[in-house]
Amino acid sequence: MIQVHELGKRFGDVKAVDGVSFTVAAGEIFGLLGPNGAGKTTTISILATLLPPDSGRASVCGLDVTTDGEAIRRRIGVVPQEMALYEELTAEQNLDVFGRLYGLKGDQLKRRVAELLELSELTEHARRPVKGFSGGMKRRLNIMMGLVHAPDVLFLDEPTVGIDAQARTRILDLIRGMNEQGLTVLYTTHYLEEAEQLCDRIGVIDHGRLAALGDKEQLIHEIGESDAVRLLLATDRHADLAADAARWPGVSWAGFRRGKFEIQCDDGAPVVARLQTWLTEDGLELDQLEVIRPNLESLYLKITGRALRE
Amino acid sequence: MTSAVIRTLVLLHVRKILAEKSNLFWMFGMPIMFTVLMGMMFGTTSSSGPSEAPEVTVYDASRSAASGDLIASLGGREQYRIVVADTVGSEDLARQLVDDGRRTAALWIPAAFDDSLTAGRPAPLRFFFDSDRASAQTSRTALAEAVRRLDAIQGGRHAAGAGEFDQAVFDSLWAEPRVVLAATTLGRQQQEESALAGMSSGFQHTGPSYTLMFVMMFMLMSVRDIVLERRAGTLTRLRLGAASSTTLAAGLFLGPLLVGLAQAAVLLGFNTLLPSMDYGDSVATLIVVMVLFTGVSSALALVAATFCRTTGQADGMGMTVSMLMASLGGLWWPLEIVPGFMKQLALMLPSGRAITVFHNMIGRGWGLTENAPHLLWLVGALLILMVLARVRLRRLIA
Repeated sequence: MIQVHELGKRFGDVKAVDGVSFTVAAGEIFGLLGPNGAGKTTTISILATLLPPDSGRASVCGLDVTTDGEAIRRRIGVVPQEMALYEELTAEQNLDVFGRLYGLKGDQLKRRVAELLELSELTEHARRPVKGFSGGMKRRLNIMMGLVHAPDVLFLDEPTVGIDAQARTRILDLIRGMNEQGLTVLYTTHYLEEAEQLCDRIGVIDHGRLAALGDKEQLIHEIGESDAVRLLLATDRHADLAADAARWPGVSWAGFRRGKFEIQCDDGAPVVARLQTWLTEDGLELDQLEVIRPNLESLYLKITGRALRE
Repeated sequence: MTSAVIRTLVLLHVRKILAEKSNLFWMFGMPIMFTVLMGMMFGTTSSSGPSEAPEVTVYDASRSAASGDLIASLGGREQYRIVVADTVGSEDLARQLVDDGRRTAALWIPAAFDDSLTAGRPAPLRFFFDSDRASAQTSRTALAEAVRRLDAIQGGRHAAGAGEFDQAVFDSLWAEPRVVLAATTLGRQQQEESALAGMSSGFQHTGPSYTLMFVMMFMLMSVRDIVLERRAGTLTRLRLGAASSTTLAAGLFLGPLLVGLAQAAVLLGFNTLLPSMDYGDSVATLIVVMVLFTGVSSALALVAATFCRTTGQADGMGMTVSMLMASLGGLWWPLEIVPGFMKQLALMLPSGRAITVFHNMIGRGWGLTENAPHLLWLVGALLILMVLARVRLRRLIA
């Protein structure tokens, strides 16, 4: 559905996008992960035909971004990072205006507006001016504005910035639901947990370059990080546990790290079962236990040498 | 599709304005208040009773039956009081008396008045008045009309014989009067050809001028809206929905233009309720000047918006341009009373051109042909600004 090959864009001396290549299949949720200024928005702007590329090629729905701008714009929806809404108008009026811009009219327009209000759970607020909405409500309406003409592909540029966890969960559910209906989604974010929860495949972009690309498990496997079981015994028998655990299958190391007892292993689940047996045999109890799996944070840290929010 | 997009953009602009109820006050309430209050300050004849009507001193060098009839028929009007001088005097004396401020207005009937009429030659009257006194201008207009009417009626009666009336002769003389009132403006301005001389009420200036000012001001204040659209991302959204940047530019231009025209129609309509308010005979000129001026203002706002990055800049730009265009363009005070170089400066501004057209319509009864230089100037300004807006906007949103 989306094909990007060696895409490049400069702003003066700054290479905003530098030789980026990736593809997004129909019905997929593809996450473009990276910190602010990494080149995510520029990439989306090129794919949405709002900016011309300086080099490389890109196509959306089989149409070239440099020559088929108008046709592409009819088939894509864009949800910008900003709250691109008319605050003085009602939710219904906002959707109505953009529906008309895309050629909807009469009953078809009314039905579509009603559907989107229902989908975003804003039906009962339809006739209230948007300026009175909460951040989460505005974000949901912002997404609906990109869907008013039922596009094939939706570009979401950090759609959850500045809202609370509950509102974020609702938005992620909303996107997941739309994807289940067949919508292809290109989702940019700098929230790792969102990308982990939502995306089928991920591209990590940094300084305009694509630093990693693949599905989540594959990427984590590629970085070679292992699980870690962190625990604290009620009685201080940590030295005995370290000696025993070091001999358990799949365990590479056991001991204290940064003030916490940790068992590093290939897979945390069998180690936890073995630990349970060890505790029972010696009549011991645990104060704390957690299994740490390598995630996108560790992936990002490994690739770029810094935490994502730095 | 393009027309549907443009219609939607116009609808969007209307909805945004109606969503904020206070806009209606700024569009209509405020201009009406200014028009009435400032019009009263400039002066109006209708509120002044007969005792305040200016005195027109008549110097009758003809001393004939015809001049006697003329003087008798000029009496009994509220716009002026006729006082016949005991001395015949001379044209120079009549002029001098007004010039010195000893008379407000003087009508001099030449010795050959009767002979001229009898021979069918044009019979000129000389009228001198002090244009510093707005009420004297009123008497000039009323006197000119009275003379013209008298001439036509008498001509009609004379041609048809006793007890009859020849309408054809009346119409002919109404169109081309034999008795011509040659008016000379004296006093501070010395402007014989001033359009202001033909205006009799302050409302005749404040009505159109405050309409122009508030239409322009409301549009220039909308520079902020376009900047906000850019910053909020709605302009990008419009760009994605609109077929092309040209269509988008057309919609952003036409929305304010149509709202501005609606505002102008209401305000100009209200003005007709004011005393002595008459836009003249050329409705076409009225429509053309308002469409052109509103179009220029809309295009100017669009261009200005492309140069502003922040709302602070937009507010500053909108306010500064509005104030300069209004003050230098003769919307706060008539251009007829400012020095010549300021008048030349005003004619380099759309506001100066538009108010000059209005003054010509009201004070001189001019139509499209006579106002053509001003109207063509506005057409040129509109075309230049539209091209500039298109180029700037395209660069901004492409």
